[in-house]
Amino acid sequence: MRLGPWKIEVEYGHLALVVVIAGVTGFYLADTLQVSRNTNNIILVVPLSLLLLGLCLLVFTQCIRPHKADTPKPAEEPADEADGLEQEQSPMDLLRAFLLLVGVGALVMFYPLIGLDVATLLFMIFALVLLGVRGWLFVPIYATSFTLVVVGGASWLLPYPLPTLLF
Amino acid sequence: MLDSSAFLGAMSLLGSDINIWLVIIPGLLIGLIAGSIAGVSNTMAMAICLPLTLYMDFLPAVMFLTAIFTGGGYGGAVTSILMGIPGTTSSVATTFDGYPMARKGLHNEALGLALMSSVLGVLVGYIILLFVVAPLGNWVIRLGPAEMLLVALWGLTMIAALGGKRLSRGLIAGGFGLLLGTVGMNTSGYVRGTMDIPFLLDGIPVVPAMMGMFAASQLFTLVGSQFLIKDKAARRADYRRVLSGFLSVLRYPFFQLRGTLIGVFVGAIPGVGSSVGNLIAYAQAKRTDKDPDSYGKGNPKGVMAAESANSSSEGGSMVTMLALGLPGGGGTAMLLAAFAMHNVTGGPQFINQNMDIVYTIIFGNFIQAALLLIVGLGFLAVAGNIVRVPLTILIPSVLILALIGSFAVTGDHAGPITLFVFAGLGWLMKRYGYPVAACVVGLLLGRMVESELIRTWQISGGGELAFFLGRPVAMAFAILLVLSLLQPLIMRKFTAWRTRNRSA
Repeated sequence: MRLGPWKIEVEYGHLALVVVIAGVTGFYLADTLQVSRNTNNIILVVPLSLLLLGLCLLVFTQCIRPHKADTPKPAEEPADEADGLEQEQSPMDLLRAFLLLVGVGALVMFYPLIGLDVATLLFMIFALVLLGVRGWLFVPIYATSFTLVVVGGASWLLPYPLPTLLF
Repeated sequence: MLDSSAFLGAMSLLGSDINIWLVIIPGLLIGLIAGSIAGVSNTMAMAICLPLTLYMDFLPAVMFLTAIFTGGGYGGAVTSILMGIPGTTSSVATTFDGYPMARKGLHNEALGLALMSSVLGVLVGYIILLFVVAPLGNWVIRLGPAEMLLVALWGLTMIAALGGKRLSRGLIAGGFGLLLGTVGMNTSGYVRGTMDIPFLLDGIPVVPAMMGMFAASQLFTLVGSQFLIKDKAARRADYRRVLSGFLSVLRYPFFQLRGTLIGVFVGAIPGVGSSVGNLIAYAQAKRTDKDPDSYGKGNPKGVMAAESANSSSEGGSMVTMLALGLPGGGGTAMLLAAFAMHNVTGGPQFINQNMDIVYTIIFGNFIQAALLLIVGLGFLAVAGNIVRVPLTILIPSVLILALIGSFAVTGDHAGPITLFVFAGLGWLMKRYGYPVAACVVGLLLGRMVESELIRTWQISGGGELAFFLGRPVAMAFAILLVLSLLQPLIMRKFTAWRTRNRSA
């Protein structure tokens, strides 16, 4: 983004994360204060929430880096802690990872309706294809056998019933 | 220190029943498998196997359950190293250097190192237990809520301060986890942050949250890679390299011993125990090493510190269980349940009247540690092959295992929902350099920290300073806490000062 002679670099993803953390903290603080202002209720939550909101504000300012348009932009720190052990993900890989997360969300949302067995089978087929497994025979065979072993094994092992449709 | 008549009695008890020996290997195997599946912890395996012990005599029953406990301790390291997903809460610190070692193709060495470190940790932990079971039990009972609070905060700040590149992000991760850990009904009966969702009354389920954060932060960042280890030749399970990992433990005996001692003493503190012990041992190793920057990038000493501490914390947690009848965590709670099922009550009276049985349990665990070496090696032959599976198949498979594991933990929809929410959060946090482990540890300790803070506030008459001045142990922990927090800043200033001086 440009503002006169200034160019502003914004880390939108990081900004979103900080806003989420600050938002959840703010909601929790308000809810706690609404419940009671007794010391036993606020002794940890209030000081901790205020500290967190302050830190979020600090990081918020770090996510927006203004610099003169004619000077090179400030260097970014590598995001990963393992320092180069993880290879940098391409935008396509990031999109795939995001779709995989959406797939997990869909699985979690729908398995009580369609059964864990069917939901697992569908998720496995979706994820295998999304991640680039080819071989139209391999995908259904692996997905089916994995579902049978894992869901079947879990329903045999667990002391409470699994919400399944077929077995 | 050592009661000789009880010692002889223990020897005779061990020789009197073959079943004591027969249950050890199945127990170790069950523990190894359960510990290595994220979500199916050794505590759950012990719970599932608890009814079986009704058909056993008391000593075989206890030996069977402690074998599961011991096996599970190492099983948790296998997934930590190979996939960066801790199988149990006590193997969180193992991921910090174990997983980077695996990504460098050093998984054989890391697994061997962790196995040897675990075996030595269990052995030394129980040897210490043999001598200090009674005095340590008395020491632990003197720790009040102030000390418990400060130990928990010490562990958390150390990991927040050391985990990330920036202190502010470490503090946000740890603080946010701590805050989320207090959701639900607190110790005084106030209900906060539940959004009228019934399952949140008991708080956010910690194990599914942990699985979501770790599994997601690792698996989603691996999308686009073909294998965990790029080099094809390095993917083979190689016993020579496992053996070299084994022997490398002997090169750093001080790290091993210090991790073990931290594990025993922190493990003895009920509720904090093994979850914090491995983090403190790791942070101490990093803090005192000549090359602290190599930690988090595959330093074997980091794996050793974490594994020795989490294995020896088993001995530590047995102290409070045997000496006081207090379970320090899930595993010892299961053991106490087995005691009750056989009409035996743990506690000071049990120790005074049945020291021979206490010694039998300890000696039985020595044998378990030795057998873990053999059974663990066999297990590695199978588990080590996971790096040969293409990530395109491994990622969805592990996600499903984690999801079913999360269902298994809670028994309802709460587990998978928690896993999903924390999967998204963990992925973003990892991407922007926030230490996920600090958030998980905060979540784990949140409820306890708040309860102990309230109790400390109440018994100190509203935070009177004189109360803390009269508690030297609490003061010592408070100083350690402040030092942990300031250490990265001090180190940074010191390094900058030294660089300036050298260049001048």
